[in-house]
Amino acid sequence: MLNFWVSLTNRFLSTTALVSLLLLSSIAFAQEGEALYKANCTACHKIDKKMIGPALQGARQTWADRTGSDDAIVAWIKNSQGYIKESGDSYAKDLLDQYNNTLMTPNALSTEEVLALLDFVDAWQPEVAVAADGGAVASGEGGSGEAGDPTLLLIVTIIILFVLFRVLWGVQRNLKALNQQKDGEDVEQGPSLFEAFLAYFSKNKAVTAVVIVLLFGYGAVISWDWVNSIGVYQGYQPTQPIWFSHKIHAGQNGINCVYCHNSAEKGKAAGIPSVNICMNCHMGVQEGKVTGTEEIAKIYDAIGWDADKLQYIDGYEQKPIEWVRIHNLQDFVYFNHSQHVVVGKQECQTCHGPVEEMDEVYQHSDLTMGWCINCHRETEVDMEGNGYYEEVHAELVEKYKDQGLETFSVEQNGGLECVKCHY
Amino acid sequence: MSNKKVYWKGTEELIQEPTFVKNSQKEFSEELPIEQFLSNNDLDSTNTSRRDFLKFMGFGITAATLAACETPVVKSLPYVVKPDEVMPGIANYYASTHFDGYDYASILVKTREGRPIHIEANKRSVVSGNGVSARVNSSILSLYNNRRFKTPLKEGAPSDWTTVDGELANALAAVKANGGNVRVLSSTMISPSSEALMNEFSAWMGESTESSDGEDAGSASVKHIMYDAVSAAAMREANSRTFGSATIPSYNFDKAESIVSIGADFLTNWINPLGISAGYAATRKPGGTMSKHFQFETGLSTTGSSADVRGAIKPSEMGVVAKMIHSAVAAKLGQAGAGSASLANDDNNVASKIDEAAASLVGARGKSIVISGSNDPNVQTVVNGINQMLENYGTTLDMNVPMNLRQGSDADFGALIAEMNSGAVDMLFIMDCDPMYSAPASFGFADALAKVKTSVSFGEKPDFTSQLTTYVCPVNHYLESWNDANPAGVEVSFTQPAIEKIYDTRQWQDSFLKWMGADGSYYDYLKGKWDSEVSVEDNPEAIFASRWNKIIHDGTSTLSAPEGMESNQMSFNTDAVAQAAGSVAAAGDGWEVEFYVKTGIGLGTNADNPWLQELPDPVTKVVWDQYVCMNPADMNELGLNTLMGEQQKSGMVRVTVEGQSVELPVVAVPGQKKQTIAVALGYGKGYEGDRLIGSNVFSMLPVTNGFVQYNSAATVEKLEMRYNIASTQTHHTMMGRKMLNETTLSDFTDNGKESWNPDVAIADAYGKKTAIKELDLWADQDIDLGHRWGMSIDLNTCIGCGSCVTACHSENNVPIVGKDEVNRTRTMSWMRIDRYYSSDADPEIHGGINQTKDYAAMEVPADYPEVGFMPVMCQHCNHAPCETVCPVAATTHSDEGYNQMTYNRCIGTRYCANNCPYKVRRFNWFNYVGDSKFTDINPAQDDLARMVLNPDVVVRSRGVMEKCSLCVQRVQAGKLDAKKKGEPVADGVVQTACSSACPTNAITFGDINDANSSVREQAMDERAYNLLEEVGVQPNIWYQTKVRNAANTEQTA
Repeated sequence: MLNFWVSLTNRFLSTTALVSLLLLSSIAFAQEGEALYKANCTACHKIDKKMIGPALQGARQTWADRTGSDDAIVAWIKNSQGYIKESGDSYAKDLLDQYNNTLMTPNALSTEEVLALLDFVDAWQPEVAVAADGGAVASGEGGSGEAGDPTLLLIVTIIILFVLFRVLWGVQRNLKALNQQKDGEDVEQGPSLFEAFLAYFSKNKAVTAVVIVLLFGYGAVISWDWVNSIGVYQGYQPTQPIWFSHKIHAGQNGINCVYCHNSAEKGKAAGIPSVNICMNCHMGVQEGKVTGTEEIAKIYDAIGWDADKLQYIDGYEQKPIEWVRIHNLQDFVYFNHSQHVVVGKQECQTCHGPVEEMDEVYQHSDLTMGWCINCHRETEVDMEGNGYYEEVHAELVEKYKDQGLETFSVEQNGGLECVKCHY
Repeated sequence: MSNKKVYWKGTEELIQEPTFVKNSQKEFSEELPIEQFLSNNDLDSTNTSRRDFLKFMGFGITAATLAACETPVVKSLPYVVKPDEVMPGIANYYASTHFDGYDYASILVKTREGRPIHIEANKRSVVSGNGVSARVNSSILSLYNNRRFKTPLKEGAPSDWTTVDGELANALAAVKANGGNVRVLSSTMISPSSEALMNEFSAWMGESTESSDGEDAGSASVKHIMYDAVSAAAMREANSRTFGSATIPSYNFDKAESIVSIGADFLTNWINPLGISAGYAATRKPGGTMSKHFQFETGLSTTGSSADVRGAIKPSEMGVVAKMIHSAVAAKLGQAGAGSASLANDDNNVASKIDEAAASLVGARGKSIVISGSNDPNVQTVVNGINQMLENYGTTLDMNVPMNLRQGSDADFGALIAEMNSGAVDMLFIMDCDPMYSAPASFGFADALAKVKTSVSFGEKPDFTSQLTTYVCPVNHYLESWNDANPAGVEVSFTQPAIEKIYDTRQWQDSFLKWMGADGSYYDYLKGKWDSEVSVEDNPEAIFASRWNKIIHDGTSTLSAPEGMESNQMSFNTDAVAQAAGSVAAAGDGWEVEFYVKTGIGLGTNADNPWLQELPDPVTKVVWDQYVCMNPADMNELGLNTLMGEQQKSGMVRVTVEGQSVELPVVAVPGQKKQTIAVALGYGKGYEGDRLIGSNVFSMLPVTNGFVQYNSAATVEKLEMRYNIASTQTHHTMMGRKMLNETTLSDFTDNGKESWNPDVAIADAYGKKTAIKELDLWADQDIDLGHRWGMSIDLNTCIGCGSCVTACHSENNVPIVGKDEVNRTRTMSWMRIDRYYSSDADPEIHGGINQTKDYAAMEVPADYPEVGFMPVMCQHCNHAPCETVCPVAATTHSDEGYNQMTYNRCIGTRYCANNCPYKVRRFNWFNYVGDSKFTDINPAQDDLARMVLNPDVVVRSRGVMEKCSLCVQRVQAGKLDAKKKGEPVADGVVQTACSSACPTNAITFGDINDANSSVREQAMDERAYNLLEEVGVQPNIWYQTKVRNAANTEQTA
């Protein structure tokens, strides 16, 4: 939720504040502090750290020490500009100066509410390292998933069983021989396991044939699958230079895909957002719930943002972030995002899968030509209300009048022709 | 009837030379060297056994398979801070201006992700018109030339700006203090701001300074001299004599009904070829008033090829012809003529053609144009006299709209050299020209330069002059620069950078500002100038923040018209004409040489541009070489080989002009005046790998009365050497079938379509004729559904300039293959321009069933044939023969009219090329972007030059077939745009690279199924026909019958 608020403008914030206030006014003040803080302050303030505005914890004490009561700070919080004008408080002026004269929007909080808020802020304690631990646990879980490969388990089991069988077979054979020896009979060494197998298969020709055919068929299937997998990187999930979670951004915070990937609606590339787009929110959001400051600091490092002074560093040599590209189409394929997103009105998830549930993005679809063609066969073109399609729609209705079709697939509109993608 | 004409592409085809005949039956003219390989004796002596071979094979396949399985890691680097205007995958267009001292064009630069990739015409420009020339659209590749200067140089050694700036500022201060002389030498400068800057510099240098002992040391003098490698000084001189004003008027070819050119190649090289060819094309449509074009010239030029009537003359006879026309026109008008003159050896009926021309001119009085390419002021004065008699001033010739191109003065240049020789020049700045290369040797520029104390060259890349100057201050490419230009009249256009500077360069204007200690850059200077001069209110769209934004967006603007310019009513000095006519030199005897500007190479400024070197010359179709053009009759006399081809090495001659000589191969050009040769300027500067191409012949130009002449008497000696010339002339022959449908205007107007463009019909055994359109082997394509993209090419307005060919190279990443591969018929151009010579003789038919045609009888009239151009690319047949033979369905048909080529499916059987009746398919014999053979030739192998590649078109690999795609990437982009807007694709919005580049609008592209499209209108026109209609492949490309403005004299039927 935090990011969502940050991304809104100040103006919107104050309106929201008013609305929340009206809603909240009937609720007990004791629970109110936290809600008020989250609704009104988090865009610019942190409890224990400087952000756009100063850290909040301890402010009440400082002001009380200075002025002898809470009145000054309440007035200051309610309407900082008005407070300075009325009191001419030099401390307040200095404070404003220190934070680049960024004035706080006047708000309609009541004195009780302000006090409740300050109570909450002063009582607040950092959750010690919980977030960081959570991250470590999460990644640990991710790692263990790979070890549980069922095929490997099966192979190991089969090998163990085979060895066991072989050992037991040998034991049985030796025991039989010892028994014979004990009985004073001629020791007749029984067949080895291999000999027994051979004997069995030479006796049962039909079984032999079936086994051979099965083995051959299995081999063929394996080879075919392998050949088909060449150049297909479905599930490709490279490690990115920044642990960026689409789950947090697109899923939990509900940021629209095209807020960052805005060229998807305009051109052929969906585009990887430039760092300045990240900074729209991360100028304020300096700490994540999962990775803390570590990953976000990488954005600051790229663009040259001084997180302490809260300003861009002059003359900083910016470093582009080297993302690893996940969806790689061959050079001889032309794919245009805007064609599919704007004209075809496709959801991003149709091809990219549930990105909003992925912490780290992987290639969801196999991106083979068969997959493209299939979709073009099945998907209906939305010709309704688009002047471009008017004429061709009438012509298609005429062409398919035997079948009485009114809507047409991409294929029927020529979407399987080679030059639509290859040039 | 004219339809009985026989066309051929070269002497090889004309006389049915055996190698040619053999090769014409085959797809690839050379044999595969199997025999040679098997007969190699070394085969037995190798120590690789069969077992080893199999082992290596096995290992190789395994290794390759394993390597192929590795996942490539592709990095994606987004911007850190993305500029608003850049959207990955979307092209931005910037309006700019190309002017290199010679070619002016207002252009649009297409950029992708910040790098320019293509140049198109800015159609807002009145001066440069519809299209761009090959030289202009190829200039984009020169931006990525890694031979460009990367740092300033001092005495040939790399230096840095701080050092050079410091030293030059000191040098200037010293000259200023001592009252010395500073000279600035440039080619024609049409930038008002640059000129103003020069004036400021001059004033700044001229401020009187006090020397150290307190005395006034006088002021330094600055003089700016303009000098053109190909000069029109005589035109200015003639106008000065007749009008008292040394201006070149605007030529309104669009108003002309009769055009006579005496040696001026006005469609590709004269003054302002782009604007002129656009105007010319407007008058070349039969139906309305079609202009009549007479051309009297020596070599067969691009313009001469388009002429209705062409007379071959010696270059020294230009004056004589002008006088004869003057006399004939005067006689018809009852005025005083320029006196009698006659041609020495008139073997081309020139005298009667002159009478015809005079009659035509008088008939179109006030609507005619007479021009000359001569740089002799007397000839130009006589030409002025003719135009004056015809009352052309004020209508077709507009002195009120003066041309600012070609301001160079040969006399000023001569004076500068004298001054330099006297040691009076302290500092010399040279920009936009290479006088060491382009000045005739008789000027002695090198010696004069040695006497200049400090010389500075503002070069872009190493040239002959920059090798000798004290300093080299490298300048930006024009696509990295700011500038303005006032090419003619009131039009101003602007140059704006389309890319950040690639190297550590600085445009010369900025250098001067820096040395003068001025604040701000040339950009500020320019902006300040235009903001102050142009009112802000004049911003009707109100979408621009300022007038400055608007003019930079538009690329062009207009100056307020100068007042008091009434030169059309200026008094005309008739005496000057009479005087000039008296001094016109008589024609010379013996061999003469004409030095001409070649359509592709031009002045050699971009001679290292492989696109231009591989652009076949419009007439000879030769690539990558300089040569002597000679009439085949003369060649036979000299015993030279008139044929070309891999197995046909050309003979060589030594051409000597006043003690200087060059040795060059000879190419047969029917149409070249006998006893003359033509040699192209602009060579001896570019390289193909390590090979210097041709020799510089600028140095051989004679100077007469201070005017540089582009023709001379010469001696021609045959050498025993032979030289292999690569030409596309005999490639892709259509085996004697009639391609170019041509008729005369009288036939066109008097008779119906069946006379000059009959539908092709096939007779069965009983003689019953069926139209070819009704005969069909294949099922119909669904051509009426949705779009059907098609093209119409007007053979009347195609001037063969080759702009479409280079535009196609640029748009479609067509590889450059080099001379050797062209020689093996492996040129890759998707678009070729076939040049056909025509003649009226009939072939002899021998034999019975196995008839053979013998064209030998036609050799005699071929000395001065008519010429026609025909651009040919994939015809996108609805019933394409290539599609039926492809074993893997890599080439298939689209419902939108394309014959689609899917590179990734192609396995390279080349069956399709073999089955194509038009021979337009190109096979990638090599991996041109990787093979070491092409490292020095194909720009795509250079890390910098490959930035020019169009990212929307795949770079084809070895072993696949390719061909014209009708710029499907542009069509798809246009369709997508329309879909997003929710409206039909408007006619004309989608243009192919070739149709957009064409300066004469000869190529029309559009949707045939769009009832209102101009391409549909043209396809339905009576002049329209399909190439090789009798084959029945139903192309989506139409050609418009060529109509020559001539009477139908051949009533043989």
